Amino acid sequence: MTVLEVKALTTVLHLPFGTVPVVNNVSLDLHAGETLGIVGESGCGKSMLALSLLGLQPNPPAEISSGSAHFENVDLLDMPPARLRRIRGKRIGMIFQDPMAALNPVMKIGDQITEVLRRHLDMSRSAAKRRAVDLLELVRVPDPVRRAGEYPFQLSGGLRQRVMIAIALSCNPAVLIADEPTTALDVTIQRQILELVRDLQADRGMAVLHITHDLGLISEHADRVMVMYAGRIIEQATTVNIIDHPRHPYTAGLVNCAPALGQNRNSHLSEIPGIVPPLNQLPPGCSFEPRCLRRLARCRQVVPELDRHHSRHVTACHNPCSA
Amino acid sequence: MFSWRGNLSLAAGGTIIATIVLFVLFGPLVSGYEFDQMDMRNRLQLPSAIHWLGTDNFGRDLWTRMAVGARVSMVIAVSSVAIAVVVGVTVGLVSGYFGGWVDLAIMRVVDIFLGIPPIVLALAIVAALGPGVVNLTLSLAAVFWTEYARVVRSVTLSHREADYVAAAVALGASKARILFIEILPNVVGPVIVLATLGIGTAIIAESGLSFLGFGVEPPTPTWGWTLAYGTRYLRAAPWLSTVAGLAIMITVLGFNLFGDGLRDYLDPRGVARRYRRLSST
Repeated sequence: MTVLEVKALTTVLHLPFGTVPVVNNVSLDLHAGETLGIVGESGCGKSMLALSLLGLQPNPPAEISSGSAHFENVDLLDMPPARLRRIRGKRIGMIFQDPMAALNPVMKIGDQITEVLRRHLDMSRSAAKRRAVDLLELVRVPDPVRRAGEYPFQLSGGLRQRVMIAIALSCNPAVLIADEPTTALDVTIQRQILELVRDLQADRGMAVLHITHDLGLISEHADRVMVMYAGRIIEQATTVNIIDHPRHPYTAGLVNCAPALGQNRNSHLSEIPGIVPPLNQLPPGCSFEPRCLRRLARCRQVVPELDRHHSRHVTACHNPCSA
Repeated sequence: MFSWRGNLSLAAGGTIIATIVLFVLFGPLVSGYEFDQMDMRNRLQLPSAIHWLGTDNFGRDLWTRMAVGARVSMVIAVSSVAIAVVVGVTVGLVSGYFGGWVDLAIMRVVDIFLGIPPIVLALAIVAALGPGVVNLTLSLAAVFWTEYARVVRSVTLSHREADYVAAAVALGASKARILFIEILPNVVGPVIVLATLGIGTAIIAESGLSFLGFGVEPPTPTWGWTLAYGTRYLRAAPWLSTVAGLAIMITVLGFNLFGDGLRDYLDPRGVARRYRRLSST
């Protein structure tokens, strides 16, 4: 069952030198219970995509110029603010990248959870308090009663991210948007947090949109992966296909970039030459063309469309790597 | 657990304020004099067993007048600062959070208020409204609110962009909630410090205005009036101005200490500091 269906979403940035698309004609669908990974370099538009879905894009300079995002049969992008507020945090939860900054420094942990519960579920103060402790226990915070009375600075980064997850899950959302939830954490905590999200997801049949730059991380936790480059989706497939048979040269480059443990330290770590072009200097053809090792003459002129021939593995490339 | 020992300035400031309150409540009762009871044979008496703080130029008991005057001075100072805080904090939050033309318009109004010398502004307002305790309070509030608006605006500007505000929006919080539940607690610290300093300023400003005849009218005693009027008898009775000046100084000190301690107490990090200090001893 599709819970979230995004069609041709374009978000533009109004900048002094002109208007540039930062999310360019992105379509995706998210099914109940699955994890969809969105992978890309910094600045490829993946966070802006997530923010746009909930109308959180910083406006100005960002503005959604076209497209739709249907959630439970209503368009999130075309909705009065008061109605959207009742969806944010209740039906769609969100976890942010930096748990150090995403909690209010002068509010107790417990109060930050109960506030959301009382707002969305109309709970009484005492019921919300009990529920907050239950939620902290659910996300495996040790000694939840004591922690609920503490302030964010008294908690470690991992614990704070657990609190953020508790808040995001407090109203049993249908969709969880996780924007680089583990980037600020160290590797062992990363694994614990992702396992926690996976377990809770399995319990509740929740769909997760997991945004990250870490292809290795996503390969373990996502069912499907979308690769973004310069605002566009360039490849989408099941995780196994993306990792084992990448078709877009950029994806292939990303896969080859990942170092493996035990790899000979003297061996050459491959890289993708060049940098992402600035959004106002995108080439007229394929955005990746200047850095691409497989470019053809027409890559310079014609923007490749996502080929719909393979419904399970789509690529936007004129000269894809062979499967 | 709360401990007075953990926060010396809160304890000291609290003690001073409590003493003043006791003085205001019971001072006139224990002296046995009325504040406007004249005794022309005993003018400008030195402090003695009969008149604990001496008498003024009409032979009125200074102890009683200080106690009654404290009531008037305190009411004016505390309520003018309270009004200024409520108005200034609200305006500052709105200005800082919404930005754009709202901010521009509000800040230009603030600039106009700041452009007029404070005493002239207060004088003009009292002159328009007429003298009296209420009008004096309002005119002082009109002078003070801009300071809070400015400070709160700048703190709000930095918190507006914080991730926790974005997170609150993503969790469905309305603008009013963001302003008053998420951001407001973060501006409390600087506002408390400003407000406690402001009470001292208000007492002094009240004395200045009263001295110029725009404040509280005699025979109602205020500290400022006693301080200002006492200067005329500085050679004959130096205790008049000295007592009033010391009272103002101690009160201002008390509020400053209390505010300092309160800020530490309300700062969540301060809680941990206290814990650490207690557990290490």
